[in-house]
Amino acid sequence: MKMSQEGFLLRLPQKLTLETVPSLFSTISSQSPQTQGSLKAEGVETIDSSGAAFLRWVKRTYPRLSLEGLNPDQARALELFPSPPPLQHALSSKPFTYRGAIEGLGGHLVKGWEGFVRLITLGSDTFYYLLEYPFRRRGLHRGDTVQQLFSMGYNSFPIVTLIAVLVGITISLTSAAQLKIFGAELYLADLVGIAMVKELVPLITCIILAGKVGASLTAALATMSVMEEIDALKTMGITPVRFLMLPRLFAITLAMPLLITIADFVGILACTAVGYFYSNIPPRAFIKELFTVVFLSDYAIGLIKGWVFGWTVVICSGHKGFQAHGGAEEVGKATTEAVVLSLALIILLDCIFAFLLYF
Amino acid sequence: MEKPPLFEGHNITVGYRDSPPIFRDLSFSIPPGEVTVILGRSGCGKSTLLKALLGLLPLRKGRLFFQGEEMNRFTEPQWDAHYRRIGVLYQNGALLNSLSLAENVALPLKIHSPHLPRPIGESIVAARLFQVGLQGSEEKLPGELSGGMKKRAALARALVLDPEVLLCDEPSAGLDPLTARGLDDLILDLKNRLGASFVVVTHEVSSIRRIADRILALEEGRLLFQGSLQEGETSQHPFLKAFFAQGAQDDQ
Repeated sequence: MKMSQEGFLLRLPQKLTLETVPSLFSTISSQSPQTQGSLKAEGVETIDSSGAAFLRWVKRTYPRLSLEGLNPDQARALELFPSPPPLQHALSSKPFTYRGAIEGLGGHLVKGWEGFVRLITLGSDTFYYLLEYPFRRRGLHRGDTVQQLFSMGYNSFPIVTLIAVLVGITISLTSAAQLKIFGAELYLADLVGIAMVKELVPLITCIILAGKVGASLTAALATMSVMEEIDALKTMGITPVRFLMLPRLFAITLAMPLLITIADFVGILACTAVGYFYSNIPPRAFIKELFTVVFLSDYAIGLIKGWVFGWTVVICSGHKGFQAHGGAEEVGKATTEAVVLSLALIILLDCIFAFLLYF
Repeated sequence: MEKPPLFEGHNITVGYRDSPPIFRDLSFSIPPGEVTVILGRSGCGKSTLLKALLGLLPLRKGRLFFQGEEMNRFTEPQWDAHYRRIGVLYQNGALLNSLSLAENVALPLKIHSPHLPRPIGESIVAARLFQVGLQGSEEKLPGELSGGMKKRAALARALVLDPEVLLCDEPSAGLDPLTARGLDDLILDLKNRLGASFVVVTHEVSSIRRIADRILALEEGRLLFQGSLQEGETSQHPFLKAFFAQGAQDDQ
């Protein structure tokens, strides 16, 4: 590059390619747009797209720079490289405005409300189909239901048991240490008994189910939505909600009492063990004390909670699964959202239960 | 000096994990600067051959050469350089769903020449999208596009680095005849203008007649025929005869 009397002069290199364009660009962009002069292209042998785009850019940005010495073939290549309007916003982010922010917030609220309405609709549809089943016998396929029962019940059994034992140990150790201060060790049985049966067992069981069963349900349904399988079911005259949700709702309804009972049993067992080894409460005394406060109604409340939470998991997961559309990316997103929504609703419902039972 | 063949296979055997090979002892040669069409019935191993050419499937046996260099012996930087020179158009587009169209097309540029000034990069992306007729859709996500649009966007992405070789897996499958024809014209234009070589997997006879310089026919994992389009069309082999005859009927 040199500045002569005629102005700016730049000899272009042999290769006008991705490798050379960045440095040429910085050379020229240091000039003012009104710069006069010429680019000498006699030596240029190869021009790739970036070279052509570069020459185009020079022509557009520096109208007073002339391009000389391009051979006819290259000039034609340049003409063939179309010069569409440049991308405006595609690669840059939008500026912040208050109006945009408020619109965005409103959009989220509307979306949230619509999502809520769809969730309730899906829930009521599914329960309708479940209640309708004994009369019309539609939508429940033995194979599918057994498979779901297997995955929700049998496959979840080990992890539910393990977590019940661990929570039992933790809660009873924590409580026993506090009760020891007051010399009220025996009341450990009352405390952990109520806590486990009415509160912790249904809660943790369904939290595990949300992660295990809910996530896989959403992933399966979202994949089906994305692959247009849901549409295919519709066009075959099959109601997707009935066909896909009913077996799962039915399976969780059947599996829940078993899971809750087992978890109650092993949880209490763990508490008894802690009572024996930590607070020296004989197991017989522990169990006797336990049954002075824990009744069948408490077990029933735990079970009802389990059912409600379990249904919540299935319906939230189904809702997020059915809503997925677009590409594979959506499957992961839907799954995450389903688990988060299930957990939030489970805790919310648990709080509502607490108010109903004690307030 | 004569240019070495673009791809050359010597008795290659390729298969997917733990299953019998898709083809055995396949030998072929694909010349540079031409459009070579790989054809055959569905399931005969066309796409598998394409994957092998891309180095996505390890060879169980045999040797595969790209421009005279043995691909089995490529080192990591050589593979990088290799992939820099070839563009691939996948059957369903294979666009990244989380990126907009423009970002998808710009991705190879960003990776391979991070120092490219923004206006130049944007101009190349805009030009490629314009070439495939997708101007105005830059900000759309792949999920919002039809199959044909995805394919065209994928072509724009494959072209953005000016590849020497473009491998296309069924470029016109699932497209309307006009769009398919536009894609064929684009391939011919790029061949003439950029001197690019093409390896195209397709079974559209009309498309083959329009773009092919050479054909490579496969049947049940064997090479049935390789030669120029004219030789293929006049071949007495029953499969090729039936294939082109059916195509002629369809054209009428």
